[in-house]
Amino acid sequence: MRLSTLVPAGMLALAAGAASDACALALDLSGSVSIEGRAFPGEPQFEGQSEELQIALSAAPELVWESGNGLRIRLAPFARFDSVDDNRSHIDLRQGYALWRGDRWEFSIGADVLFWGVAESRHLVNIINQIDALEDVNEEAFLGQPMARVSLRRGAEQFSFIVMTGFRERAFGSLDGRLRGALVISDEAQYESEDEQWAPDIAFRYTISSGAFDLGLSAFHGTSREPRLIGAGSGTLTPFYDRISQASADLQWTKDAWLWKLEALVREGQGDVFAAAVAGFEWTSPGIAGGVADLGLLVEYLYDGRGAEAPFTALDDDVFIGSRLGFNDAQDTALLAGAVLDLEGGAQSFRLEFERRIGSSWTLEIAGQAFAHAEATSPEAAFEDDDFLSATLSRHF
Amino acid sequence: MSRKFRRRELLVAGAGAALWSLGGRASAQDAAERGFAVAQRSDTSDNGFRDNVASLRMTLRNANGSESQRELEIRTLERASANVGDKSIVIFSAPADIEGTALLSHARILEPDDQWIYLPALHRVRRIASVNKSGPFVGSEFAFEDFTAQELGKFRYNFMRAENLDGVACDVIERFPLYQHSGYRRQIVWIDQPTAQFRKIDFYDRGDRHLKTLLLDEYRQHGGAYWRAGRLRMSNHLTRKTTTLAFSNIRFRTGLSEANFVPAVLATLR
Repeated sequence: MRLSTLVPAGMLALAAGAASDACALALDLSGSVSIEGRAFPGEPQFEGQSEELQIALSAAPELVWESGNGLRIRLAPFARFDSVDDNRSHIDLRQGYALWRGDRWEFSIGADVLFWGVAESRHLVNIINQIDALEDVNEEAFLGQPMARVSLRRGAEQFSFIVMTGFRERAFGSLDGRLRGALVISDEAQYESEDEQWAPDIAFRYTISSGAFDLGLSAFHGTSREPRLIGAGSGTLTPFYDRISQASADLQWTKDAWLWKLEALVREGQGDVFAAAVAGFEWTSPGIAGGVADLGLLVEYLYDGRGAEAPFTALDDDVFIGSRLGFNDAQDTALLAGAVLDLEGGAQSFRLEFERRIGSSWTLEIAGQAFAHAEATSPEAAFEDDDFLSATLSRHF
Repeated sequence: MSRKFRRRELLVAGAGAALWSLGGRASAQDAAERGFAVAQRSDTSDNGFRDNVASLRMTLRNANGSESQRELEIRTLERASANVGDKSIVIFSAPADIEGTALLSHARILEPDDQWIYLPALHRVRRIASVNKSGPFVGSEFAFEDFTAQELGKFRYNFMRAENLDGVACDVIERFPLYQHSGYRRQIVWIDQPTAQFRKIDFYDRGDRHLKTLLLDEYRQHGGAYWRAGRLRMSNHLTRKTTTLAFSNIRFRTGLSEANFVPAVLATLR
């Protein structure tokens, strides 16, 4: 059990005590349970990797208390049991916070997930939460981060100040797991700060929506969510977390059927100061197939100027092309396709997703991912034989 | 419209027909003014409502009779001036997989609305393109443009006739969308004379086919002033699908303000 599950518990007990005085206390339980099957048709590339069908069971309940006077408590734990990869079996408190709010301010304390940014292919400026790297390779699931947050609003502007401690380490696949590198990654991480995961992180974010523009400016100082992997010579890699400072901007311009997007950052603390950016557009067709379905097209260019002393990224000079077909039917059927093409090394990654509601409380999601043309010596080559097909059936309540 | 106009100019060219033409123009203008007046009376009957919260059950029925349902809450803030539309937030509570999804709209008159959607699975607020107002609202027979506020300035009007609908005296007007991306060529609206509320709308698509009919009933007056329909039934004549909206727990002047209708509030609504 990780610390984030313990810290907010005390806070919540306190908050619940305060809440008992409040008038009408509304309680809402919802969430989902899922079963996922993941099949890898290719022979594993590395010693020890499983060839079995990977089955995972997960539960994501959500409990919300809302008092009539501005206090809100939310508990959203997550648990997964995986048949193949022990590291993929875990429990996390994604959200467990108490929030007090007025019309123009919010104060929260506890574990939370905050999403920053506008791009689809890479969540470049999104830095508060550690990625749940074992949930999926698409980096859209996050671990809860313990924090205290104050947000102040003025019209369409918001200022947020966040203080964090209780750093969450990134999880990596075990020896049995697919979608890992040649070397197993140690569970014993190292930190630049002697306070290790207790070193405080601070962040500031300003957002404004004005006419057709949505702008976010952020600053972060603290422990890098991305580890460097060191000690390759010893046969086992060790994650090393540097202290970094980062400033970033995210901007979207919405004009008719077009969304123009930009995310950019400058980071210090991992070798030379470097910049990275994602820029592109999303265009939505005004109704196809009799005017009912809509088709979205996305193109994004990804640049990352980091050097060899920074954590590796495959997205240094890449193009993402994607499309989304929404059927706008009663079952919310949607089809997504995307490709990331490395302009330098030539590595390619393709993904296809289908999702649909079944009845009123079930959903089915099918995803396929393929990797191709990585140079044999490049880190991307590790996934070369791990093309997969997954199906997830979820019951929502 | 342009064809009609050209014919009128030809008539004007003939001196003998000049008076007749003026008379024709005058009566067309009368019909436009009278149509506008009927719509305006209905529009202003809602002035001063400030804010409004309602629960809504949406029942989607296909041609075979199979049904699916959505439950949502709608919060509306009255427009700040006649130059903009109302602000609204729609929060879904069912089906369970979209629970917590919220849509914020700042309606405009002739431009696309400003819209943001909150997706709970990603904890993400996204600004979305809203130019396609003719697209279906969450798989229903209601288009976005049927759902957003029926601002007076969004249409050009024409008075057609007065007639009884279900025993209630109604003015029947024709209205033509001025929004260039509207999915409709025109709509025919029955507005009752006693309370100036919409009772029925026939929707004609861009090809002037009779696409849909909306019936509004179970009207109740709230706070001694504001009328709201308790039930809306939309029938699509081409697909034979229907969508019924049943409103409940309608409340006015709940104390909502501009600060409750900004993108930053979406993440913590549920």
